[in-house]
Amino acid sequence: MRHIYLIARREYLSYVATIGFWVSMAMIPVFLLLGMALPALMDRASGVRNFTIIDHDGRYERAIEQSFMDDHADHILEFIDSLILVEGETEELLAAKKAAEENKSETEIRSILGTQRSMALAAKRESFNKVPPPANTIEALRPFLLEEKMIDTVRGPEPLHAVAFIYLGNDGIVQIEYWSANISERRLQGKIRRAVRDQMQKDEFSRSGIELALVEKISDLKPTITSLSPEKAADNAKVTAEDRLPFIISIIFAFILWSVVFSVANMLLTSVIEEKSNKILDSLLSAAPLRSILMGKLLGVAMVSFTLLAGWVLAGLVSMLAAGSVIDTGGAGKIASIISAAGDPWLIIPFFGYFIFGYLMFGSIFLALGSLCETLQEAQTLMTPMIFLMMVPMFALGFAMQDPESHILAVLSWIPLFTPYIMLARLPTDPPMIEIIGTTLVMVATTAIVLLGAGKVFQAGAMHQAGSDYFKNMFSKLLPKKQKKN
Amino acid sequence: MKNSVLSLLNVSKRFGGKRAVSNLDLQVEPHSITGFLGPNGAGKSTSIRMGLGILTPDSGEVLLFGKRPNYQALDRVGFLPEERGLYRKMSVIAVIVHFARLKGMKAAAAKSRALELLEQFGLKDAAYKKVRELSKGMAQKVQIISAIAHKPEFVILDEPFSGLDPVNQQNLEDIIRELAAGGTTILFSTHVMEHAERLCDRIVLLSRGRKIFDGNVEQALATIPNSVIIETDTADNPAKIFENLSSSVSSLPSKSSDSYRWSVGLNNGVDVQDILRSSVTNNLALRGFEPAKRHLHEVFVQLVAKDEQAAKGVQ
Repeated sequence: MRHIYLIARREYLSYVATIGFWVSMAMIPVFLLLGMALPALMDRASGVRNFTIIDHDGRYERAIEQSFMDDHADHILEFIDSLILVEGETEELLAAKKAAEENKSETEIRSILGTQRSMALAAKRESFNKVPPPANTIEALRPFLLEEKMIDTVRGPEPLHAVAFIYLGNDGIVQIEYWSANISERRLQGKIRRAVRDQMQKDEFSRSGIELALVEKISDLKPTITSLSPEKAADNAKVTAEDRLPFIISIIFAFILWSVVFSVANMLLTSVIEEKSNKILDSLLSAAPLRSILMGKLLGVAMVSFTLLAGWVLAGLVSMLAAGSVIDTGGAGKIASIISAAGDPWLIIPFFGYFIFGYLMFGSIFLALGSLCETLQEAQTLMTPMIFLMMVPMFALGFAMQDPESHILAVLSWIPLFTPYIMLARLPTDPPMIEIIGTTLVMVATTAIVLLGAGKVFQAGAMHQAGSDYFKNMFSKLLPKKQKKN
Repeated sequence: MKNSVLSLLNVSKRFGGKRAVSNLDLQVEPHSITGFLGPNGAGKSTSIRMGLGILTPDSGEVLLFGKRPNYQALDRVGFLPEERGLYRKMSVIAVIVHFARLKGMKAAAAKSRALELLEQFGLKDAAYKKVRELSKGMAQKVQIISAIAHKPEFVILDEPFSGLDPVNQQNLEDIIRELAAGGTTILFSTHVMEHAERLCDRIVLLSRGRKIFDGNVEQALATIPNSVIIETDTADNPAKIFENLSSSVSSLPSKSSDSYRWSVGLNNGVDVQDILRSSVTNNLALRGFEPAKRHLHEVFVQLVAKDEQAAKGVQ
């Protein structure tokens, strides 16, 4: 035990006592936060883009204005839906949604949402702002478009992003001349084009004697859909955001499990390569039994992974709080419902169980491969098949996001190297008990075999100086020898 | 044998089809300095690794402190492997303490012992430096300290002098003498005979995995004939004059243009005085007469060459 403890301790400290470890751990919430906040931050960074319309007819300008107002109403509705997803269908939110659907004023909707949510809504600014034209010809407007002159807005002087001239062409078709110095930004152009197109179609319906109200009525026809679960009581069968949360959390857990196992298995590989290339193994072998070295390393790096997990959990919480305040809603309800779903023992206990076996399988394989190599370059040859193998559950998890009850996932669950990740993702779908027990038994048995095999390879690598050609030699021994020609 | 610190009893080891060690018997007696000699690839490191239980012999038996190597016994052993290395990112003191603790020392005792040894080896200022910041000689010293910090009764040093400059080689010789004076049993392998000649109570010579000599330095030197170097005025080979006294007379490079040097190998029982007497009797124009000092180097070269010739003869 002394040897295992000391080797594990050294292994643990060799990672945890470095600044790099903590910097990289700290980077995770930063990246997580950036990932979540990037679209909003980019939107804010670019500011509101002012544009103007010069429409000789006037009707298209009004259509464009209406289109922007409709978009804004849609944004409010989407915002309320996102709140419902994380906070559940509270009375307040349902009332706000009803108000939004009935095209009630923004002020009214905000009063229903409350101060904190309204502040988050206010943060969701529109990207574009229509302003009166500062001039009527392109010659006069050009200095504004080139930012040589500024327009006056309620926020102060700002540049003019674009101008659209709308007129009727000689062929009777409406023409839009879209002027902007920013040729890569095409959203505004698309919006204007869609609004004008809709107005043109309405005009044509009118000219053709088709009642516009009828057209709109037909266009608005859509079924209402309610998602219901037979597993819930009939009077309360409606599927809510809370019901969906375990599926999302289980897939996140499976991704975390995969990331941790992959990271720490790589740590084991580099650690043993370092010891082999630095010729430390002989000193170690004269001081501790081989199995203690193996177990010590596995335990030490497992502790590193627990530290990583603890850090990530903390980072996740910090990110959620920070992202909540930066982008959307904030709100204790959101955090509480996520924590409650993540803290479900039905997920947490299997998570640690699967972590142990997933880690032991991949960790011992990587450790054994490392013992055969002197350099990382040498290891790459042996690692490539393992990396491909490890990528399979990653792709499968992507698939699980679409359909966690797929037969392909059920089949992949029986492959022991994938079991920890796939089964974890499948758990909220309540797979048959026979599958849970069966895949677990196969996984445990495989782990034992892998550990034994890895021990043998490690012994060959560490004690007998076997090299990266170990497997080649082993297979060539198994193949029938060629008869020598006389 | 019962009291031997290490006993290799008729051990053999093969790697693939290649024989590394063949029927080797080796005893290391308490409080002795034993030199384990042999050319590269003779099987020294393999034998040592078997002695420590790192490798299992294909046949034969290994006893360490009278028992099969186990980790209680290994706690009493300090080992400096041939292929040396340290954790480069760790501090010097952390490395020494780590290895001492692996050998059963308590953390506090290991730390104070490490500091004491670092001071003794002139490395006190490097205690908290990273290993990667050390010179090769310093790192070698740290490795030696790591091997002896837990106060082992038996120290095995595999090629301890390789890679060291002459000053550090001399320092290491002093350390080995100091350890031996403190009662530590030492086994060290080398193919540099000068160190063995100066340090060893006993030498064991290996060639092609087999033991070809086992005895003390005097016994080893006795395996090669005495010789005398003479300097003459004439270029005539004096072999005829020493016909009954000498086994061989060979020319040596001369020191001046008008003199000639010869190495005269003496037959068993012949004394250098007999050569001098014969030279005078036969009016040999002697300009110089110098009894040659025998060295382990010649013993090594001759015994290994003889063994290799015998092997070729068998083939």
